[in-house]
Formats: sequence, structure tokens, C-alpha cells
Amino acid sequence: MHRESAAPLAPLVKTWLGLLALTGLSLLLGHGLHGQAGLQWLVAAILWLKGWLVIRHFIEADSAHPLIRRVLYGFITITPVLLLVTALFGRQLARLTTL
Amino acid sequence: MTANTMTVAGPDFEEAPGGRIPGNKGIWVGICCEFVEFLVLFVVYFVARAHFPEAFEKGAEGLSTTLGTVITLVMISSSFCIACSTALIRVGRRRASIAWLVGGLVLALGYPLAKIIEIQWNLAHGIDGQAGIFSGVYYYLTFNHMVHAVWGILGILWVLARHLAGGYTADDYSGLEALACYWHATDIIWLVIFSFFYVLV
Repeated sequence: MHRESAAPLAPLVKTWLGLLALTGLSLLLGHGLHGQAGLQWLVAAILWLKGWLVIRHFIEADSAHPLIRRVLYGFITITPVLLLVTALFGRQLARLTTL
Repeated sequence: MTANTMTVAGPDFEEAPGGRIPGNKGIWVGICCEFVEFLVLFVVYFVARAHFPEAFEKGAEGLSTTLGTVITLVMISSSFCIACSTALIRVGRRRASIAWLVGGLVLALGYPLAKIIEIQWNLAHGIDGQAGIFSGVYYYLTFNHMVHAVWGILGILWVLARHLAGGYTADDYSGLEALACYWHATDIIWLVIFSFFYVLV
């Protein structure tokens, strides 16, 4: 079967440009908000957004089996959440994990 | 065991009830294992960071943000090329698909190259495996990721060889898509590592 036709590359190009822009933004924020408490929140948000872009447009998770969707969205959600938990409850986490 | 329960692969396998399986089942077992492995390593990172917040702030300042950014750009762009390669074979444009895959491979090879330069830069600045808790966690995580990336590069080479030999068509490209899924997952993990070590300074 011959199915040659125009490939929908435009969404992939937009995703790639979005990822580049978010990488630049995260670096700017890292330098601009050096050591400030709000940095973790912004980094966590950008991290989730970048992961979402890759999952949604590169892996096409939305048309994938629900188990695969859950694994992917779970992974990109748990890491920013852990970052915020450490930022908010770092001392308690250290106390809990002291031998 | 009936014939039905023994059937685990076949033409209808990718169109499983509830949604398709990008690539094949085997690659998703591997990706799940990869995610679990890195989640454990990230927990180690967070526990170490909670115990030694100053060491992590100071340690991150010592790394080369430029080289970390280069690796990020290489991973994102390589992932993009391989996604384009998959999209093109899906519509039967085999030659263009191969060209994008070659582009993805060339960019992917920039990863180990940048890593070697980064390690030399680190060592020249006294950041070795014994420089403290930060460098220990940093090397453990980034070396682990590089191992996964090297597997991915070997996978790209294999898929490229099959693609050149006419192994993929618009109707059967599961091998290429499986490789793409693995590479995108490895990309996502690098995006996490980049945020943890190069952005959170």
C-alpha cells in the first residue's frame, strides 16, 4: 500500500521551538532568581511543561494505551512534586531519613 | 492455555483495547524499568539535597552551565529529528525519514562528545568523584544517564541499518517507533537532570 503524502511536521517543529524557549527561560530564571525560594516553583512548573510537550507531541501519549499514559504523566508529575516537597519540607525529610 | 491467551504479539497488538501501544510492548517494559531506576536515583538526590542544601547550591555553581545546556539542546533536537523520522515513515516518505534519522544520530553523538569535554572541564576545576556529596550524586546520576543514552545511540544505529535495508514501511514501522519512544523517554530524564543540576543554582 502506497501512502505517500505530506507529513504533519508543523506540530513537531512548534514543540521543538517550545522546548528550546523553555530551556532558555529556565536558564534565565536560574540566574535571575539565584537562591530565592520561588525558583523551585518555577523550575518545577517548567520541568512539567517540558515533559508534557515531549509526551504529548513526540510520543503521542494521548492516543496511547491508558497504562502507558499513566506511566508517562506519572513520571513527569512526580519529579516536580518531589522537588517542591524537598523545597517546602527539606528539614523534615532530612530528619526522617537520618540513620 | 488456549490459543488466545498465548497470543501476545501480532498485527492487532499495537491497537490494544483502549489505545495503541507506540512501538512495541517490550520497549515499554524497558522504559518503565528506566523510569523506576531514575526515580530511585532522584529520591537519593532529594534526600542528599535535604541533608546538605548548601553543598548542592555551591556544587551546582561549580558546574559548566554552557556544557549542560549544550547537552540539553542536543537531546531535545535529536529527539525532534527522530519524531520527524517516525512521522515521515508513517506517510510513506522513506528517504526523508532516513535523512531525519541520520540527523538525529549525528545530534545524539554530540551527547557523549559534550560529556567528555564536560568531564575534562570538571576535573580541571577540581570536581571529581571525591569532591563531596554533591559531586558523588552528580556523577552517579549523569553517568547512569549517559549509559542509557549510549544504549539509545546503539539502538539508533541498528534502526538506521534496518531502515536503509528497507525494513520499515508506512504499514510496519514499529521498530523505528519503539526506538523513538526510548529516546524520548531518555530525553525526558535528561530534562529532569538538567533542571536539578544546572538550573537550580
